[in-house]
Amino acid sequence: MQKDRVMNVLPRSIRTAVGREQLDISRLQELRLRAEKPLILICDGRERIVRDQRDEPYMVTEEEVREMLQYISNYSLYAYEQEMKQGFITVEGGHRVGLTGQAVIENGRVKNLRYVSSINLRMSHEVLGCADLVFPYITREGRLYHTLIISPPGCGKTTLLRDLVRQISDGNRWIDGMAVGVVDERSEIGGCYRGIPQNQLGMRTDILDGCPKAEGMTMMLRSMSPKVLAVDEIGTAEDVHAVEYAMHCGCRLIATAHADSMEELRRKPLFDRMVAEKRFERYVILENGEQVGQVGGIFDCRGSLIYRAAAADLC
Amino acid sequence: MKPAGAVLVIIATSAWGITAAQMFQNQYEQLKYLQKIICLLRSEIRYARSYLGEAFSQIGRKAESPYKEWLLEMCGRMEDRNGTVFEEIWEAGVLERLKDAGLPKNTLGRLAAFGSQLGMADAEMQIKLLDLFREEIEQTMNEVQEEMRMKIRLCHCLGVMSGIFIIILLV
Repeated sequence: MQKDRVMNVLPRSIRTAVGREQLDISRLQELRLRAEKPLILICDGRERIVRDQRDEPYMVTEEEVREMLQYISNYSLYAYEQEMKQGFITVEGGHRVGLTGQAVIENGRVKNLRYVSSINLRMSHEVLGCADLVFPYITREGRLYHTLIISPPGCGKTTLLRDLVRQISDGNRWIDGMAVGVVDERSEIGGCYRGIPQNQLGMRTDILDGCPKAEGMTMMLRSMSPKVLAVDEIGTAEDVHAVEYAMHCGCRLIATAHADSMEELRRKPLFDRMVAEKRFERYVILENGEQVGQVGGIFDCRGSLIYRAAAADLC
Repeated sequence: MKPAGAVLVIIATSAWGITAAQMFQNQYEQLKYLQKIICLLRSEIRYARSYLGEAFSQIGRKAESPYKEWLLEMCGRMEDRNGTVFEEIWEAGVLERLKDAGLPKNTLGRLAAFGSQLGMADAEMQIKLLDLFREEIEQTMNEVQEEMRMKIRLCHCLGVMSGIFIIILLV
């Protein structure tokens, strides 16, 4: 199923070339297409150049980049206008497709991208049970702490968040199942297709797909009264304000943010204030150790380390 | 016997005249229906930001033949993703499915070429292009309507007159 979804967005000739590689799609992390450059795959953290039938590097053509752009946008670039401004589109299954080309600027801001020359398909991986290790540290007597997951890009924040949502929604040995509201601005948590999540998010989860986080959190609070609210990649002042608002409404919050350590998080003014005000009660740091998405450490609201990775791998 | 035969000839040629007149009437109706489809497509893009395949599927399910088959077939071809660009899928769909729909030839040609303007990056521009195409159809409808009354009358008259002419020739 996942293989079909991934192959479905690739140009026909590249589908054949990748098919020849005898790949285990579950181990594929990235697929990079650059016009007039070799096709590159990243599997298990290692780069691999795809070869053609003559055993030479498979060269991606401009037509193939254009063909893929048609597929990822379902032949309808206008429907992805907002996403294009941010430089990526999320396709069915929650896979992120990054794009670069020539930026079209209007009033000093990026309006769109044209002459797309590079495409980076980043695979979304659903790892059921990857949050097991974290639960004892982010719950107490059946109560969930406000938790922020921190890591650099590509370390498995969204994967961990997804499994947390699933387990909180269904309930497990640490917590009873409860209503979870997910605001999935980039369609990466649920990987929604026509509004229905393609990833497992649990039986008590309501998902608001493609909605800006700040607005979505308020909408979710008003409409679905969730016990837990989950959002991915908070970073702007509006996001932080909405997170604080949700916390004041008695909702437990799980969120993710970009940073590679507590120190780096504190260097960001918005987060520094949140840390100082002890808004989040737990901070889960992910890193790429021996495996992608390894938990580096878990900190409490005062910034004290309560768990440090030994050889424990998470995702 | 002769009067009965003459009546039959007149009935037959009049029926031909009526059929020819209906063709002009049908042309107008088809243009009106195509305009409705363009309006629905505009609405799907404007309000739901549906992508084209999704919009074709939504509209196609409720549309009448042959537009239903045209839209649903295009949707299927888009999902196949067999290396064909959208412009070709649209053009082939129009020429295969709508060639006998009764649309005027120039409208059919313009519709077949319209695919190159769909799926572009700017939603606002997309809506403007659909509006422009809808106006073009409306203009063609006005022209067809103006000519229609005269042509229908002409067909009816020609039908009866040709019957009389055949009778005169035979008798």
